[in-house]
Amino acid sequence: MTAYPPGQPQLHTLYAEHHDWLQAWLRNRLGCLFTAQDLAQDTFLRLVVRPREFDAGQHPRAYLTTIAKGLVVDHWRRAEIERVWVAAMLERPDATQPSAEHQAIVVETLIEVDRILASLADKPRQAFLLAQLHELTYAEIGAQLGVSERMVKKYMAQAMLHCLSAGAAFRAALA
Amino acid sequence: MAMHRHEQDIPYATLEQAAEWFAVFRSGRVEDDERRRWQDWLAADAGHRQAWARVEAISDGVAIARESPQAASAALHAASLVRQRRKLLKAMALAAVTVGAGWQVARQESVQTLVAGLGAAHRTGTGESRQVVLADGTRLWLDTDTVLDEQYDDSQRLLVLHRGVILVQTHADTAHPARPFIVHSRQGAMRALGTRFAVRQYHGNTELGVSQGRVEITPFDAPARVIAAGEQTRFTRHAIAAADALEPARQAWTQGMLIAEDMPLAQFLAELSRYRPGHLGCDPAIAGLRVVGAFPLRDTGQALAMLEAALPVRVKFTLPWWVTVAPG
Repeated sequence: MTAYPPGQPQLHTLYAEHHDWLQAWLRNRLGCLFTAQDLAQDTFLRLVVRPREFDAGQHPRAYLTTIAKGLVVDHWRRAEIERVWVAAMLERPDATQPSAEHQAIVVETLIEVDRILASLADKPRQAFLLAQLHELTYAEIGAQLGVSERMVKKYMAQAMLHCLSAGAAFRAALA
Repeated sequence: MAMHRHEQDIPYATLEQAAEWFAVFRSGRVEDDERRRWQDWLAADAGHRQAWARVEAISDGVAIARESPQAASAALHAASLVRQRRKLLKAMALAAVTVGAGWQVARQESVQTLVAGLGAAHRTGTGESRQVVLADGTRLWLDTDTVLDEQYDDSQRLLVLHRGVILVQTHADTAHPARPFIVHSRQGAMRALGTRFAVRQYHGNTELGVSQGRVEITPFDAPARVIAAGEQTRFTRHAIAAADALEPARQAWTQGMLIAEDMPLAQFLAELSRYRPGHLGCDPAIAGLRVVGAFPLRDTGQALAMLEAALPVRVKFTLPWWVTVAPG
């Protein structure tokens, strides 16, 4: 086992020693070489972007697999969102099919919504989606969730604050 | 015209206030004095305005999935199952657990959305543009990837722009008394006062440019304002930006051209990509290069070749629908 200088692990050493192993580990889980290659690269990219999270005392492979597991789940989440959305669009009549570009934007938005709202409590999350996605009124949402309108308003503020502090980066300004 | 904002850290207390205001406005019942207090709050501090802009960006961002709330809910639900499954595995919990569907789809797709999808009277695909003459003689140009409903009745001539870009040349009404001519975007209504004007629906806002006559904008949640010939502006549901001088180049698409006057390369490629299917990316290292010239929109391959000749860049066709512009 190589000893790493404290605080500054040598990325190229890590890469050289563990990349192939990590890629094989990922391939075993994903069953797809191309995705495994991508996610292995992404794992090392995380190390570049957020090197301070690396604890030199930890075993590198344990640390790498922790990151990689998170990326695998992200990958499945994205794949599910895309699959379900695209399947729903395919059921529409041809004339109302949105463009591929537009679909990609909606899918990216849903992935971002999912990522941010995942860490929000269930009721504020549902209230926010019922209001913003389904355009229900506070009274309708209150009836749905079994709470007062005043409570719905609190949930809405809570959900928005959650998005604001999570730095929600929805495609905002330019098309 | 890019709306890039450098967002410093906004104090948490300000974010809290902005979130409270969001909840107030979303309730749909806003008293006049409450609206005044909100305006005072906005006016009081640049940080307040920054926080509010973020609220609108988030709110509008989510709204683009509204065209099919059921599909969006189903997709989010599927993603939450992936997460729950992982949590279960991680905790090595019970071997067989039925994950209850915590989410119930609340309502049929709203009638409005359904009509928007099925009843769209005019539509163009990617790369397509079209000219239409309406029953009253009004001429309409539709830019690429545009969806528009024509809803003329006895009381008004209403166009509902769902997405894309239109240029309108109104005609004196054939009916007596003359009906008002109105275009709705997702953020508000624009009433023509005898005129030629262009409307572009962005994701979070609407852009209006007036070449002749005047147009009155009424955002859904703010007072009206008139935009005169030779002016252009953008508006959200809650506010209208200060008017700028009209850039006639922005209407060159009606002639099948994209005119760039000192346009950053990234913005140029974003515009061009609206006219071709697939991905058109830009290496960040050259995103700021300036583009000058007139480029054909009906042959985007030709436009890319011209770009390569004019700038120190290389156009890489990885796949026919996956194109990246890199340093040359």
